[in-house]
Order: sequence, then structure tokens, then C-alpha cells
Amino acid sequence: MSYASLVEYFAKIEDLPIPVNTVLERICATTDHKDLRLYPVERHNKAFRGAFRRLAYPTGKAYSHEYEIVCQILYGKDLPEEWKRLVIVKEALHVFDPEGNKVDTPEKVRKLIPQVITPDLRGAPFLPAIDDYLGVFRAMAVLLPRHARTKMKAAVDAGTRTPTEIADYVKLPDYYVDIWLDQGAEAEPQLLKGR
Amino acid sequence: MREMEQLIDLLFPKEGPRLEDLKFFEGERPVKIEDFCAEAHAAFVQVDSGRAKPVAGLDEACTPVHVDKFLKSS
Repeated sequence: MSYASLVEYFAKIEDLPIPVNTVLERICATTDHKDLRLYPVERHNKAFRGAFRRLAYPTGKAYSHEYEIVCQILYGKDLPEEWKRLVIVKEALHVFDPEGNKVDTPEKVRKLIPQVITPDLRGAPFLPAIDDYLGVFRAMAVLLPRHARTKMKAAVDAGTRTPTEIADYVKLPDYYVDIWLDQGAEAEPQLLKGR
Repeated sequence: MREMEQLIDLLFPKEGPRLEDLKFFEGERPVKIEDFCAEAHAAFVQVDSGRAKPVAGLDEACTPVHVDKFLKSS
């Protein structure tokens, strides 16, 4: 399964919130990524909310170059529930990262980190960092899916619901719900391209 | 920068698993690169040392309600 087909699978779901575990189970059931591990971690200066680390372990079989893939999803154990939901799904969706967007060398780590921290430090475009930035909106496309989003956007436009009420309902951060209701229809097709 | 190199040493050990991808979700406030690297290093140490235990899934109080029902209740 690709990212685009995952989005299509959830697009028609109108019973919300979508449980995070349902998304994780869907990824494990339909991709080669069978080992997704969630780690709640302690944070001290709130430098990041979450992280994704994909590791390849040699199987140890003689004359074999086979590896077992493990994907670790770290998230702040102190985060509010709505942030945990968004962070975990955003990080889990990195299993779909194309080869060219993977950060797998020390040099790429040195380039990625300054661009994660603050837009002020964004220098020459670095594709994996751009992909990391867009990842949160890829998660919104799954957790606030198309059909329901369309109905809720209409309710906001009609003044019968506020983005904050919708954020409470879908258990996602206000900030991203507001953006996704406003921009999702236009942004989603761009996020699905090539995925 | 010492913190960055410590993080890189942890992520690319001479023996053991190979790093295939790494990504982050930005934090609540801007920090210096060295503070970010120190926090990331501390988090991965929690995982690698076994101090942070993997959980089976997110324990969330989640009772889905149909969007039409939610919108009608306004």
C-alpha cells in the first residue's frame, strides 16, 4: 500500500476521531513495515515533539545480506493527547518516504537538524527537511479525512461550528485543524503526488 | 559542535543496526542546535538503554461519533 492509497482508504470514514492505533494497524497490515514501535520519552527543553528512526538489523544468517527493519516512533510522554495523536501518525507515515528523502548519513543529519529547528535557519533547500515539514499535513489528511473535512468546512463557513469545536471533536491540535479545514482541499492533491 | 557529534556517534554506531531514515517533529519553541541535539541524544539513549519501554499502542479515550451527528448537535 502507498501513502496515497492509505489516504483513500480513510477518505470516506466519517466516524471520528480516527483512533491512532487503527492507522498503525492499517500500515502494518498493508505494507512491509510490520514492526512499528512506539516509545514515550521524557523531554527536558521541549526541543522536539517526536522522532522517527528506521533501523536495519542484520539477520545474522550466514552468507546473507538480509536485514530486519524496525521503525521506532518517539514522542514526548508529556504531550497532550491531541499532540500525541498527530505526532505519532506524522512519524509513522515516514515509512512511505521515498529513497531520495531518507536521512541515512551523518552529513544528512547535519543538514536536517538546523532546518527542523527554525525557519530562520532554513538555508539551501534540503528535500528531506521539506518532506519532514510537510509530514504533519500528510498526517492531517489521514486523521481529518476528506469527506468529513468537506462537511466540517461547510459548517465553519456557515458559522454553525468553529475550528476549535472541531479540533475538540477530532482530538487534534487547533492550529493544524484550522489550517487543514482552510487549505486541505487544495493541499491534499499536492501531498498525494508521486506517493 | 560536541552535541551534534555525540548524537551522530549514537545514530551511526560502528557495530549494530544501520540507520535508514531519521525525521523529527519540531518542538514547542525554538532552541539552539546544541540544545536540540542534546535532547535528541537523551531521547535515543532512553530507547537504546531500555529505559523507555515500547508500548503496544496509544492509550486514548476514543469513541468515534459520526460527523453528521456532531454537526447536528450544534
